[in-house]
Amino acid sequence: MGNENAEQFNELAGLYEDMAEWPFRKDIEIPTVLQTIGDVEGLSVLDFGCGTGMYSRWLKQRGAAKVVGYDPTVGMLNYARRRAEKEGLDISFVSELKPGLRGQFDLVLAVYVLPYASTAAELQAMCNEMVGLLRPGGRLVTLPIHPSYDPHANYYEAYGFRLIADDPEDPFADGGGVTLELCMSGQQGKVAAWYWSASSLERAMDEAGIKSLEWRELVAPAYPTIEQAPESLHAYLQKPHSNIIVGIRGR
Amino acid sequence: MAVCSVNSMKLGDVDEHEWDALVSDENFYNGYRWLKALGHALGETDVFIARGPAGLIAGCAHWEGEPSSEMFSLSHYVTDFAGPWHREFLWLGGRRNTHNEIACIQGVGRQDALAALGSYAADYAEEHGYAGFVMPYMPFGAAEEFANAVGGTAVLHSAEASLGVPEKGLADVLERMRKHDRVQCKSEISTFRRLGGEVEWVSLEEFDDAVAADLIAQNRSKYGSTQGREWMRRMLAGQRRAGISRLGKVAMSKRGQNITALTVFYHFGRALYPRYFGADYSFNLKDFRYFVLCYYESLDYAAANGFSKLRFSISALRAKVKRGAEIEPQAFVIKCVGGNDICPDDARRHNRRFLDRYHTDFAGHLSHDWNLIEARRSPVS
Repeated sequence: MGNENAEQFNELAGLYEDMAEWPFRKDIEIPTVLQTIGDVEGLSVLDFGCGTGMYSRWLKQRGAAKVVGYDPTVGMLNYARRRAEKEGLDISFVSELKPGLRGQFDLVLAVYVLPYASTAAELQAMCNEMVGLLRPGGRLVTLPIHPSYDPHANYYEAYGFRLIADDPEDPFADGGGVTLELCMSGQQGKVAAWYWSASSLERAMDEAGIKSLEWRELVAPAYPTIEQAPESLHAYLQKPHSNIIVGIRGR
Repeated sequence: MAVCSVNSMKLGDVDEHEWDALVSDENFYNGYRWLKALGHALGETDVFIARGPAGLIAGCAHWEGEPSSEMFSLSHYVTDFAGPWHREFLWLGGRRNTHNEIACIQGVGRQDALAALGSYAADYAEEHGYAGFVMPYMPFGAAEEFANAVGGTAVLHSAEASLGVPEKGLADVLERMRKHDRVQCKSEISTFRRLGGEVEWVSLEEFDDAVAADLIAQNRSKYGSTQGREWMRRMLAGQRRAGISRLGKVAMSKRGQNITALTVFYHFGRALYPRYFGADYSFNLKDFRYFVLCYYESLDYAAANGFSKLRFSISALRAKVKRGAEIEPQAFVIKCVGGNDICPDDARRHNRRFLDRYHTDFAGHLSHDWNLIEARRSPVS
């Protein structure tokens, strides 16, 4: 992520942490991610683009042996460090990835990171960096913008955000700009992101050294079917704005 | 970025995590729980806060100052040019803090946030009959930034020591010292051991406040402080109540079962803060326990636990420099209201004299922040 892209998050730490309580994250994204990750007991995990460190803390609390949170945004890292200190969790939060971290991790988690690659070259560099941190056979779990997200600007408004393509005529343009507007309970924030097609994402992963790649949909694990989930979640579950890529680094 | 509102309120009414998102590893003494602990011990903490559309963007504690103390009195800070030094000012920063920075967002909205907070503080000061506000003990770069944002003046008045933690801790620091200093350090460590000294680290949470308060008060009394054992107990109790003790470690020097001295440290991100030294002076030992606990052992502890910086305080700079520390300049930011302003050229000349004095006294041990002051030399000086 370039410095400008990282900087836009500096004043959003509190808001991002609050988002963990928003229903689309609390009932859908977070439980699906945790289910996808599975047992982390004894694992070495890097939380790439850790933000406020919410996932880092959960991974540590769920028994990961070593957790490193990486984020280039000072405001996010301050939040992450202070919060983990208070909770007595031994997590290292870093603003740069030193060469000594390469090949050290069983799992790299990168939630909503790929959408902040503003060019194809940046996307490739980001994937290379994530995959390079994995030991051979290690797993990457990452959440891009869903290749088939709903491009109507207000579709996700009930869930606390708007996803607005810079070019409404061509919302699925590869590498096209997308603005994420956060709009819950009077709080507001805006960040610039980029849409990447499934083929661009797969190609970048392949070149980075991912040998087995799988797409997973976000679901509400507490409910067997969409119909059984609360009605307020239906629209999101039908057209989630993100999904999950699980990749294994080649040996 | 817009500033939506600025207010004065009690610290307890602010979300602690939101506040701490604005606090860097270098600004421990303006972290939420430290301020909260001061509040428990010395009276509730009042803060100014600025909010943007996504939440808190800046915050700063304020208090009434302590004219009777040289450490918190403008007339003791500045003696070489005229100013309203004997007037009453509103003091920004934590109560009796000797390192202050505004808790503030980074990035493009930072200047606006600082300006809004400073403007509110100036209005508040005027409404409450103060001659303005002063924020002491700021790193010079931060002071200059705040002064520019609020139309105030940054005036050098102090310096603090810090020490980067190399990979191999003490061994690396010894290696880069001048031979004379290296021999002296090794001799001090060896004397400590020869006299039966051992060092043990324990959590502050598990340590007995009464023991810590007694030893710290003994040391403070030796150097003229009137804050005795009860005052220190109150401070430690406040820290326990605020949850800051969880971040604390105690390094004890022991002879057999006896604790001869201790240093209380706090972890904060990648920085380690030695805060209190205490000693049992009934053990009349010339065993260098102060240096062993505060420098030598703490360097190895810091290196082993992934810290990148030891942040010392403002006192005993010479002793710290001899043991590898570098000196950082500190300024107070003053913003006068009601026509009591100070002359910027006088302040620049004062800063230059201050810089020259430190160049003379601590050449080769000054941090890069001093270059900022050098760069501000103007024709008037």
